[in-house]
Amino acid sequence: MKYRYSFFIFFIAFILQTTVMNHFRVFEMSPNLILCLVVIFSFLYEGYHGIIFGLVFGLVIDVCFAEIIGISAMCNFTVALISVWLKRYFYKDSRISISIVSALGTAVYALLYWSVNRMLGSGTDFLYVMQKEAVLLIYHIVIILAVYQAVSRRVIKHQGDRYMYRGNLQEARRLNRS
Amino acid sequence: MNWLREHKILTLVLSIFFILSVIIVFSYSNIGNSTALGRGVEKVVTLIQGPVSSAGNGVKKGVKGIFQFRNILKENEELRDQIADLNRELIQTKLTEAELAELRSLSNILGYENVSPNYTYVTADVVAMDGSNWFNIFTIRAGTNDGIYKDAVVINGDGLIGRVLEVGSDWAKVISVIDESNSVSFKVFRDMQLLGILSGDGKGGLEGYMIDPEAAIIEGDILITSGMGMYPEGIPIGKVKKVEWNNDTLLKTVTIEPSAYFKNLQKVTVLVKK
Repeated sequence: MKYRYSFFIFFIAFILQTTVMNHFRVFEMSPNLILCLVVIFSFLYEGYHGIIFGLVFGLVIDVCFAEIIGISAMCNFTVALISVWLKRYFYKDSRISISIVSALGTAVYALLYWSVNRMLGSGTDFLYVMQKEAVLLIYHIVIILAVYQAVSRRVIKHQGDRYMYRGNLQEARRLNRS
Repeated sequence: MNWLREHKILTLVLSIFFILSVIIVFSYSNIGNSTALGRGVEKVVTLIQGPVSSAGNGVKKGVKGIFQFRNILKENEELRDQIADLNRELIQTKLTEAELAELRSLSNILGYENVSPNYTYVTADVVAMDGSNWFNIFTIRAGTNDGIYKDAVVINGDGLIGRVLEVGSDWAKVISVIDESNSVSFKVFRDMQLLGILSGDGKGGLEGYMIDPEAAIIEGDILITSGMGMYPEGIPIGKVKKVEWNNDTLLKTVTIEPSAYFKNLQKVTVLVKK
């Protein structure tokens, strides 16, 4: 995918997340669409879309809605790196894989966000956050699975053929060349 | 240097983490003072979020109207009754207002300092809310052009919402009272001699303590701002949910249910000093 398209997708997600998605709250939680896209783009797509736009839109979210700038960007960046790393160990053509990655991404984001805020003096209660994040985790898995269902045919060229490559197309190409 | 060249990706990743850490530290030491770039980003984003938010609200209201028709009719009846009650109260208040005006003019004649500054009210639409679920920080479509300034108090029909954290020409970032690290001074509506201090409890609510450990505060008491500090007197804050005696601090602590619902704000009012 071209970077301008992924930028556009991230931008639309950002606008929806901060406006319309507040009306689709489940147990008072609205989904973090940017985080969902970071996981999807980092895990399913080649290139650095998830890392770059996770960082950029994390900063935009911080500028618009946070007292301290940079925390969301750092969390998105970390989740993107973890998702890219997990690509080596999980098959892309499995719904279980993407569910695990999205759950891990949400959990890592929450823990890191809470930790940094706590270090900077926020008094947010850990158990309260974890209760909320449990709901969000399920919400994110549902959204990511829905997106996965829509894009998986385009992204995964040889579905079910796990012997073609172990999840990482770039690595397979490099091996093939060598 | 060789190590850096051999580990380009790792170096890049560590550099990004380092830059982000610097941004966080810099931002932490300058809370509420965004750069020109930040204000520019916020301005552009608010321009786009405004129409999208209005459309979203419109659709929500329409859908709600269709599916909750009976509830709305019932609510309408209740509101009519409330209007009748409020009209009666209004007449009473107008009489009191006339008395107050007389007392104020008397106070001016006697040369007393005016302790209650007058406010004008700026009503603004909430155009965007923090989608992270962690805080209740939101953007409103009104800024310095409308007379709004940093730390202006924000309320809605239910009560105290918070204060303006940052302001641009036609937008303002508002932080809710439940996210506040700053404390708010309150008094009990039933007995205005009972004073206390509250702040966010980190669980989406408010908690505080009474200045007088013997204060006869009870569950269900309504709390209002006391007028000390930045918040003007008389704004409803919430209802007392629990009263406990804290053996460690030897103070009476209260858990408060905020009167405003922060997750679904569509319009707010900003109090601007004249």
